[in-house]
Amino acid sequence: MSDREEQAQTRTRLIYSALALLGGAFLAVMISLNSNLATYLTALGSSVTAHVLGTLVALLVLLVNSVKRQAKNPQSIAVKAPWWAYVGGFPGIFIVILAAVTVNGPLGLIGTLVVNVLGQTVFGLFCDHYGWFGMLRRPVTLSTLLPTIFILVGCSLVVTA
Amino acid sequence: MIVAVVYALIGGVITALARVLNGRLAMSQGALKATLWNHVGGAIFGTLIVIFWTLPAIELANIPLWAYAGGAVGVFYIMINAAIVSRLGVLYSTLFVICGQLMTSLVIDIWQGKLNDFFSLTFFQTALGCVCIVIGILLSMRR
Repeated sequence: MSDREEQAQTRTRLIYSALALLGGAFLAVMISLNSNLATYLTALGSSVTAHVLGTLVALLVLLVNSVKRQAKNPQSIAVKAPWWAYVGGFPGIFIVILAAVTVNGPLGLIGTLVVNVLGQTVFGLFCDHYGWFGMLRRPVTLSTLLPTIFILVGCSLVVTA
Repeated sequence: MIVAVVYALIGGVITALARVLNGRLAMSQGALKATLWNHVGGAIFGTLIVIFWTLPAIELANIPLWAYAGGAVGVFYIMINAAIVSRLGVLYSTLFVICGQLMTSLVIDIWQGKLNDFFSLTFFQTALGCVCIVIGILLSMRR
């Protein structure tokens, strides 16, 4: 691979990593807002309301975007999406129900968070390693595990502080 | 206790599962359509459950308007998620999103005055954790 190609790849990686952190920031704000709504509507009611309003907002953004330019997808390299790719919203509702059960149980909020992060990480690891659910195969090696361990330890320290 | 741990684990797995499904759809249809389908699915499925799960009567008029903003923020969260998964892989996408979430929660806590004693053990442990997270992120950048 040429130097320029490698540089371009590093830059793309940096941009998407920054985007990922921003996504986490949105998540924190979203959770904070939706938990407030849950005090009025219960956790399930809050989640459903957020999904209904989210549908409207997504439609609006899609509309604005398709008017701006005729909906060109730079990333549409992959073949037709399988049916199960359309139901990513289903787990979202289960997440709310399960969280409501565990946070109020013996694990509490902090315990739930730590175990939840562990579950997410291990599942992500398997998806990458074996290419589950149509993901690109990214074999997990020692050099991917080391940062993972640092991040997990760091998260546990922050959450249990 | 074991039941609670299993539930929390399943909660984590389906959180990542949602990310993967939306990411897979984004690969074919783009991140915007992925976030739309995510919310349509959640709205329909959630409404079905609410119908069979009697909710207490609620006075909608008492809810301030800004309390509904979470739905709008969620659209962009899912959109970003769907866009990054195919580029960074599921593992790093998951870890980075969690890092961003933690850092922002910290800022919110400090801003709201919940974390204000900068010479306490709590703050020291938090700072140490943040250092570990930053080292981990930097290590992951190295090729």
